[in-house]
Amino acid sequence: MNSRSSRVAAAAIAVAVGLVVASCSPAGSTGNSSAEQPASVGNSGTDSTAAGETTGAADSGAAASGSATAPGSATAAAAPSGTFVVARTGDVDKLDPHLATAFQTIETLGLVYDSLVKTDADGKLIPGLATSWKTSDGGKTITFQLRDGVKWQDGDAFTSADVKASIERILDEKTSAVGRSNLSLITSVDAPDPGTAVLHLSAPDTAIYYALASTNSSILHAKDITAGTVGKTPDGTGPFSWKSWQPEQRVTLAANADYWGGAPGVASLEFRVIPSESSILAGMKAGSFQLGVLSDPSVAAQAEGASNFALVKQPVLSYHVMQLNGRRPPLDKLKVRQAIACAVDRQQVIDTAAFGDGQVTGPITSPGYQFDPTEGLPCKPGDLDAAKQLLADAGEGGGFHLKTIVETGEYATSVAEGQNLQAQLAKIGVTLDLQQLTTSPYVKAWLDADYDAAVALNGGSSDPFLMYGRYFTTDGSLTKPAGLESKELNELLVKGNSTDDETVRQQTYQQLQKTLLEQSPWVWMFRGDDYYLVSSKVQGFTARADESLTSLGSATLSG
Amino acid sequence: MSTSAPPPIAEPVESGPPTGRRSPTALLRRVWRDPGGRIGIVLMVLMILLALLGVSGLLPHGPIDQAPQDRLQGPSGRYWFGTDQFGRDIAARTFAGIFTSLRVSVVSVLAAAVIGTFLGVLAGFLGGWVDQVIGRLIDILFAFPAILLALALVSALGSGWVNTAIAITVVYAPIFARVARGPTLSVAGSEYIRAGRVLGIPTSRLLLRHVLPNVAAPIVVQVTLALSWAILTESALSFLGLGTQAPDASLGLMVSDARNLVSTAWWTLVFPAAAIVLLVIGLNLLGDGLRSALDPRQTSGTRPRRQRLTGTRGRTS
Amino acid sequence: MIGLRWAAVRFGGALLTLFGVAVVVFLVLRVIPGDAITASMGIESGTLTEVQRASLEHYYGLDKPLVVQFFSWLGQVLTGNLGVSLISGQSAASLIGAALPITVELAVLAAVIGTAAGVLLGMFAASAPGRWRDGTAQTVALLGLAVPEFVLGAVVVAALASYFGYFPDTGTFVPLTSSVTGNLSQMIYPALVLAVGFAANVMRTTRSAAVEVADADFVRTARGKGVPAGRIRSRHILRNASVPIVTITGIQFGYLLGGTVIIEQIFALPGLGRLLFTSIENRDYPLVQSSVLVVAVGFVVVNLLVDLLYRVIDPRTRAA
Repeated sequence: MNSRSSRVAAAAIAVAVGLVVASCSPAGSTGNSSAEQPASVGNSGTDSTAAGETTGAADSGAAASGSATAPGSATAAAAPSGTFVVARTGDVDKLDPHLATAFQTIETLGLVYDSLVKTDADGKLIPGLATSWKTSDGGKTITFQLRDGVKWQDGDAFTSADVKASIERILDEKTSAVGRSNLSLITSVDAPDPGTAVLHLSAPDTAIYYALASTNSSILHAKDITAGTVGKTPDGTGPFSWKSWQPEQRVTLAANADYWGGAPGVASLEFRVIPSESSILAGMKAGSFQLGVLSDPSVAAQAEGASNFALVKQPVLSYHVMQLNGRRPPLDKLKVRQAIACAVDRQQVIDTAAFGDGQVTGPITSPGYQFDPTEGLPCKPGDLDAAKQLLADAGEGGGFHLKTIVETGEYATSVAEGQNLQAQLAKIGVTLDLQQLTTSPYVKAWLDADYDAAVALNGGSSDPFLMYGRYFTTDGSLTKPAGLESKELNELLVKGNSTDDETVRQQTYQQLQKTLLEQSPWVWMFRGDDYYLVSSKVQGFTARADESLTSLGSATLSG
Repeated sequence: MSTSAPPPIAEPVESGPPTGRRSPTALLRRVWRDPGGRIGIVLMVLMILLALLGVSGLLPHGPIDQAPQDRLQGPSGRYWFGTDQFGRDIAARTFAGIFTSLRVSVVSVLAAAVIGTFLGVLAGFLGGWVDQVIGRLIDILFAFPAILLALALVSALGSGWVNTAIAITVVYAPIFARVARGPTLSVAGSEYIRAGRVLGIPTSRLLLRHVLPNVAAPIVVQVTLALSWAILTESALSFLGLGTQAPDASLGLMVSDARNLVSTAWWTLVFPAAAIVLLVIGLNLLGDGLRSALDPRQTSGTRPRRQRLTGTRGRTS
Repeated sequence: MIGLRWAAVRFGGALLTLFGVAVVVFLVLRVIPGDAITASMGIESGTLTEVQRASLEHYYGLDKPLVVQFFSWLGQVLTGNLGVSLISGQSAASLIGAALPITVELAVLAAVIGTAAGVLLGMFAASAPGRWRDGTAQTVALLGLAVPEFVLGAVVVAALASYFGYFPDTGTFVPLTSSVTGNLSQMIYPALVLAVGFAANVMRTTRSAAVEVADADFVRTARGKGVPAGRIRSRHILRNASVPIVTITGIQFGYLLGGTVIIEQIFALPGLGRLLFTSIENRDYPLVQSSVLVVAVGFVVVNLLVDLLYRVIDPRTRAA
């Protein structure tokens, strides 16, 4: 149904979730601390003797961060009580975090499993199961110091053997792990002692910390891996432990009283599947849920002004885009692509398809890398005369048809975007022949690059390389569907990812965004909002741009 | 009847002894005499006119023309039924949607009627293994709930009005086959046909001159009922996103899009929903009128008869 | 009474039909583009290496030839094992077992309400054919037929939520066994919506059958003998009109078992219709195959029962 958005449709779901930097903290409590760039946290220790301090190592740093995620004393003092009910449109689809792609699965398993590093609500790296880390050997070796006293659900202690087994499981092709391509530079993992894990890389890779922070890089219990029981009953070190799952109905989690970051503020957490967003809204009005997760702006518009819950709008990192296939004529002509990029009035797409909720964006949505969203385009968006002129210059003034694929059912605005783009581009003689496909056939057409244009919602990331490396580097895994090969883009991406010098990274990625807009392989349109309906009984919930629900680990209920 | 209900199967119009031919105009006159039938005719004429208007291009706004500055406006002199989220004219879209609904249902029901009648007559006339095979095929298709079968077929074929029409044809053809088979069987067993066969009259002639006229009455009645079911199915499939594709106007799609807007923009839901209801009422009244006009009991008095109401009961005899 | 031969023939036919259904579902599913891998992983499936993909295909059982896939599934089904969902890894039997009671209950409720309302309305209309009450009843039935359930369902949900601040189902399905009132408060609205169309069909059938029977000689005779009108209605007319009423009820009930998709979707009921809809989208082959088979079995059984009922109610059909 059109209000369902069970999976973030397009790219980088794995990438987007869990390793993303928030643009602004909706809670506003963290202020302007974003001056410190996230990447520097992990990498500043490369060759400096001050490594220990700047990595925010060890226990003081960890404790500080820990209390940020699990604001502690109050919740720790009061015995956790009550059931926190979250309503969302989709169900978890599998229980193995290394294979998870559905948004709901990642959201849920992220509360049961931990990863080596994590990101805070601002998207900065913070300690997870590793308390500190440093790089050596020119960026090709990373050494993690692991947290002491962490226990698995059966009481076993967490050790470096678990880290080694987990990462090797991801790298093993037979696992079919989703996150493998983001960790593929790892050549080996060592576990010199129970409290230390060492990764060896074939090349420096700044993005790897963010890849490791993903739920797709969760650390599993080595015992479960050997026994082959991963994916049956989740067994993690996170704030909640797995209790039960009734498919298409609900998932129940219980508080993990021994959680290293402090016990959760509620005794149990329940995710209910309500397939229609209007029904979630109705249930919130009736007081049946503590939190409702929506993505359809037309439903969210009806949620304003309720007395027993608040509507929280959270801009997300994923972006709405129309991909063009630059390998097919006439889109192989630069001027034709630029004409299309110029002709689209982004604000009109936001107004009609998303009921005005959204911000015009350029290619890079990472808050650490904010640049002018249109610099590089040869003209102002919505300038039809300039667009027509470009088409005429390219010898395509007579117009043409584009086979345009649209994914239905995964996010609410897709078909509406397609319809508005169709109406807009008709004005310069470009006809979009819309083909609406459900996920499976859409994905097939997309992977085979069997389209001229594709309306998509692509996942974002705090790290620009994780966003675009897969599409625009020479050996990226999704270069075929990306539709354009460019040496320049490849060089910029590789350059940005192989350095930890923040100035160089800023310059490089700004140049990357400019080049992407100039080359116009795709038409970047806007970033949408996620909507959270938060019951007035809830304290301590923080919406995050990466759509993670980690803050439920510390939320409490009153009354 | 809604889509959870089975596709309707007309109560059999007693075929019995050849009823004599009536010209279509005479038939229409008979329907007109029935008050319900008269409302049915008027409604359908009105709907067809609106549908034609919707695709004529004579309206001030086209059904897919967007005017973003005018989006979500209520009904007014400028936009009779208001506008949707793109600033499209709901009046134009409703009329064009009626056209879409009628097009899908007419095409699919006619195709189903032709294919189904052919199969049913073949089975009834030839009997033996042909009858067995066709009968079994029909049973298999009947064992699927209709909406589910249509849904699976559209998933397999891809969406779009032609594929929706194909799906409805597949669902409905077996029903026509069953409706046609009964009367064929009784005619084929008659002395007259047996004699004709012995005399060497060509089968095609027997079928065309003697069997078909007897099958025609129940088929005609079935067609009108099938049309209304097809309209509901098309709109239900479109509602689920599997029928007519945007931006083309479809009543089911309009209702689906309007669901979340109904509290703020009631007109987005009310007009397309009303159009579906009126279409179905019109077709049902017309069907009822036709049935009583074609019913021989109207002329030859009543007599008790065995109910052979449905096809799903399994093949008796 | 019920002939053994008749039973054997009907039973054998039913088995053959079910086999046909199994083949058709299997084939149609394979024609639908896409597979469980692309459906569940989305575009991330593009980042898989060859080896990764092959290992997933093996995991999902997609690497075997179609014939092998079909017969291994059928073999499982025949031994009572409905297979395992590709997506959730849970057994299809447990998933269907959780969903089926909801759909059955919904269908039963809708059938009971629909039949009661339809018969009453039909008898009411037939008591004075052609008069105003007949006209009114017929108009009501016509409206019931013409309002699509998705419109009615959407309106009911919207109205309940915005005017009464009440929503019948908030995701946790309360089984009948744990709380009758809790369960009914969830099921009554969707059942009512389904009952509208159901009642309309029953009403029309009841009316026409009753009108016909009322004209029959034996009824006239009874009337002539001075039997009270109420008694004529219940003992003579309704009884003799019951064959078509039972038929239409049975058929509609059979369809409801698989035709509740839209209502389950709108009212968020985790029934069989929704299970099927999502599993088709997920290309969860074993789950779709087994659920359709379950629906078809239900359908065939209901039809057999209807046939059986005929023979009990109306001895004339036994000759057939």
